[in-house]
Amino acid sequence: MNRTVLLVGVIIAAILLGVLFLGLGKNPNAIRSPLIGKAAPAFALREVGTGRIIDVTQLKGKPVVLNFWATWCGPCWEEHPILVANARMLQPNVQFLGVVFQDEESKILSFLNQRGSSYPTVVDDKGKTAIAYGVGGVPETYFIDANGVIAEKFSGPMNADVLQEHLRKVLR
Amino acid sequence: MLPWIFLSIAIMLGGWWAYEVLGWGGYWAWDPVENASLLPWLTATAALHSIMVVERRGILKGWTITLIQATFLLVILGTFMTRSGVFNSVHSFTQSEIGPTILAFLAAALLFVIALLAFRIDKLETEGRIEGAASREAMFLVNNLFFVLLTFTVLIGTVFPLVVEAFNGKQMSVGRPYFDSMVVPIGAALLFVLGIGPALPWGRATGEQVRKALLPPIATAVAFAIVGWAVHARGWTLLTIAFGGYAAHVTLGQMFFPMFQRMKKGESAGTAFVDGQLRRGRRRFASYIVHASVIVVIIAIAVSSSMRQTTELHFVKGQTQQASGFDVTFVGAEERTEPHRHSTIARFNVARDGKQVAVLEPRMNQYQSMREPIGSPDVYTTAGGDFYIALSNIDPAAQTTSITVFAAPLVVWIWISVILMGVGALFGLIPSRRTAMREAREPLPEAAAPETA
Repeated sequence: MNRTVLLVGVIIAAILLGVLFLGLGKNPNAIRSPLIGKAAPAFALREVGTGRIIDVTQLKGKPVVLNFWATWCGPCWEEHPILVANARMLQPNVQFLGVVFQDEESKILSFLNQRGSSYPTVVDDKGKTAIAYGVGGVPETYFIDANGVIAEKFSGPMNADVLQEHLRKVLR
Repeated sequence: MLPWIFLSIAIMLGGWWAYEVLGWGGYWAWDPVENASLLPWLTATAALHSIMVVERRGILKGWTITLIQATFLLVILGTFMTRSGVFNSVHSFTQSEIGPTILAFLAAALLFVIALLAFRIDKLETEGRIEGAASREAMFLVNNLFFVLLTFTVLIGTVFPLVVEAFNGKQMSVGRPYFDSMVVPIGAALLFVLGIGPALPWGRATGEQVRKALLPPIATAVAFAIVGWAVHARGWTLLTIAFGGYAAHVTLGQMFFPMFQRMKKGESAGTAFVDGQLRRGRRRFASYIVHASVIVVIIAIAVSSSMRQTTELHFVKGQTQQASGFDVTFVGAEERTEPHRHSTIARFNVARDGKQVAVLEPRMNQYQSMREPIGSPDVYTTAGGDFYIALSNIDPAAQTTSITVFAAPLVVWIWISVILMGVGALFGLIPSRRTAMREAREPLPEAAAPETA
């Protein structure tokens, strides 16, 4: 038996397997947003349909579910009914707010008329708000607590369970 | 050899696809999934070389077996990398439950291989030894060490983010700078060995032989370097071109050596070529075809990645602007809806010296099931280089667009030469009549003889 080969082999194997084993079950894509635990970036945007300006700083005092979406995004359609239903259930204790970016107001309005709505939607004309929040793609949802601090972020379409689970963190 | 051919071409196809479809202007990004395919290729290439030393000199047996086993293990590791969801990759098809199963299999295979090597490696008899530093077998060994070094470099770079996360919980990624700064020198060194190795004779060589073998190609290296300098190649790229020239001289010389020998003896060029290159010296000829292709690939990679020009332009309809010596005119944008996607297509006329050479139509595709739109570039390819337009932004209503233009020299040679590598290797696989007849004549060794009941 060649002890050197055995020793070198076992060392390499142990390191490699150990590292891979520790890596199991972690999702490398879930890079936490650096904004978590920080104050939500302020914005004041025009509401679709009414033209009313909604200022996110004035929503302080209750948790806010901030959902970035667009009508051209398939997964956003999927998610929309879940958001609408939960908003109906939870408002006014929790404020839901949709932010649409890279889209046209007429398309947004017809989308909301067809598929229903239970909370205000604002237009992020130049995409500045999306940039401030570090939105990588739509849909993306930020959970802001009553003090105006971002508590959680979720990328991708949410189902009811995911939404409830994330909401729990801002409702505490 | 066959798997090696498939893997070589598959890696190239992956790079080609990324280049033609994804619109970031590159073909290799050191993504874990890409590295997963490269790792076994490196050890397999090393093994293909060291096995020749086993054949000729009866040495490096245990080492060759180790390389072959490592190749197998790295294929499984590659499967784990792509399928476990543990690695942070742009190839985001990685969420699945199969990770632990593959890891268990990898562990079992790894332990089996270690045990096998530890218990049996000493049973492999060494029949000779390396005669001197300036011999072909010594160069094979150097080649192998570089390949293994390269394998470890890529492996460590790929796995390092997991190590960091395991220890302090922070997420990080190892990017291009690490890989480029490590791999470029090793790659250049390999090219150097590719030039020197085949020039040296097997076994012990006299100083006179070594000088005669190694000095003349320097002229070609200098010539290549001058051309490289003239086209503004500098630094590692220039060095790579010079090494490439050296290696090309040696490779072509070795490639046609049997033919010239025969012609000296009075055979006609045709007979000498058919007999010396295609029949008897087929394996040798084939391996130098592969080497020649590798030289072209390495130079093309070095030049296309270091001498790429990137220009960002903003257009309104009808406007013409210059980029890397081409006149680009934005003709307009149109929208097209297909069942599975919605595309916005920009049309550009590309002209050189007042003559239109291409119409390029890069597009932005919004697929129903995707969160973000995906750009598809369009490329005008010539032997000298590619002219590549990718959309960054397009507004069909206002008929404006922002584009990124890449002008990269020699890219097409990467694809062509890798295919040539495959063809060359395949050609070498055809058994020569001599070996086929010898195998037929020789009685089978006892253990391998079919049992006769």
